[in-house]
Amino acid sequence: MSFLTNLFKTKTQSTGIVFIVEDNKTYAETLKTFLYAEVPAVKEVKVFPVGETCLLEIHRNPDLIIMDYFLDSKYYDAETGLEIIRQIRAEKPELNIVLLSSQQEIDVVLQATKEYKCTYLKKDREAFDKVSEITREIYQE
Amino acid sequence: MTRKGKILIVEDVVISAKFIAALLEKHGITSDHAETGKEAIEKLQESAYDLVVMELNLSGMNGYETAVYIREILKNPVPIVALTSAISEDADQKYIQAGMNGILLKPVREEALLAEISKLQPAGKTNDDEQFIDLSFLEKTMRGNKDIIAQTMTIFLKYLPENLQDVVEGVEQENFSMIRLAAHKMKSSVSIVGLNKIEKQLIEMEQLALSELEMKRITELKNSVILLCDRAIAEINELKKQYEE
Repeated sequence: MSFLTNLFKTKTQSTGIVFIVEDNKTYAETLKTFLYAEVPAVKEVKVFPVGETCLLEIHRNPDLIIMDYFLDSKYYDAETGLEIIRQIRAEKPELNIVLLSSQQEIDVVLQATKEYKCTYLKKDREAFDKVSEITREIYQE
Repeated sequence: MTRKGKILIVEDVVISAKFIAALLEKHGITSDHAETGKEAIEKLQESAYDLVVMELNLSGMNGYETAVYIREILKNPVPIVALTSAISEDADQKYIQAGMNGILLKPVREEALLAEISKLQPAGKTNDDEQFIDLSFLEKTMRGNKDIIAQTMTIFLKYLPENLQDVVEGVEQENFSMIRLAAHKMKSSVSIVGLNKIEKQLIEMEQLALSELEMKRITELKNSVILLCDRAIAEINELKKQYEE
């Protein structure tokens, strides 16, 4: 396991909920379709175009949050994924979070992985397979 | 690698880095120096190197973490040779797991360093003659499930006009920030259905917009992307029918 991957907590009482925070509808909806087909334990995948709306539903205790970094393509004052993660961590330190992004800036990746204990995945051709592995690990499939 | 190759030395002990640089210079090989893993990553994002010589015991991000970053995030296949003061069985396993290609004991001996360099091969030619739509990624990712592949195509076709409109608006308004964001988003969308040519043009557009350069070239790219998207819509609609059968 590399420093880019933080341990995932297997849920004893899972909600079956996965949040995707992603402003690219094509990518988000494809990932949602993929997760439903790939991991039967996933009961609900909810897509949020910006992080602020995800925070409003964080009390629903998703088993996993998949977060993009750039979320301001439609709403120019939307916070970055990293800022949203900081706010989630203040409330839910144990939640499983993946930062799935094309953002390669080293300070962002180090802050996400080392400070906020997220897993970083580069948004590339292996990303879907890696998301599948992580989700299965959480549900112990 | 020819003697014109360029090597990145990642070493926080400056005297040690200078010693290696001097050895290389004797053989006509140029080098750059980074004192930290972070600096090495930044240099690799800016320039191409033929080899990275990396101290394992760096402060901050260590050599293993830096190598993982180079492989997993930058996706850079540059050969990496580890530098260490003591080779142990543990270090031997760890450097391979981190994606490094060789290991050298310090102080570096000239012949050992040259032997590592001689192992390097020139990079292969890239294949520019690619298919317009390459569904291999989608097929593989969706485990060949025809229903899911057809659904993904439907999703793509549904949101493509919106993606494209964002790019067009950015270019019409000559707003570099809008262009960069729109091209960045659309790039992820087209890559899902293997529209590699469009993806490359969007990558170029994103990079030009980031540098706030060449609006004329950006406009050309936008026009080309519009035409290619027309073709993509027609072809994906046809392909979708095959998956829905």
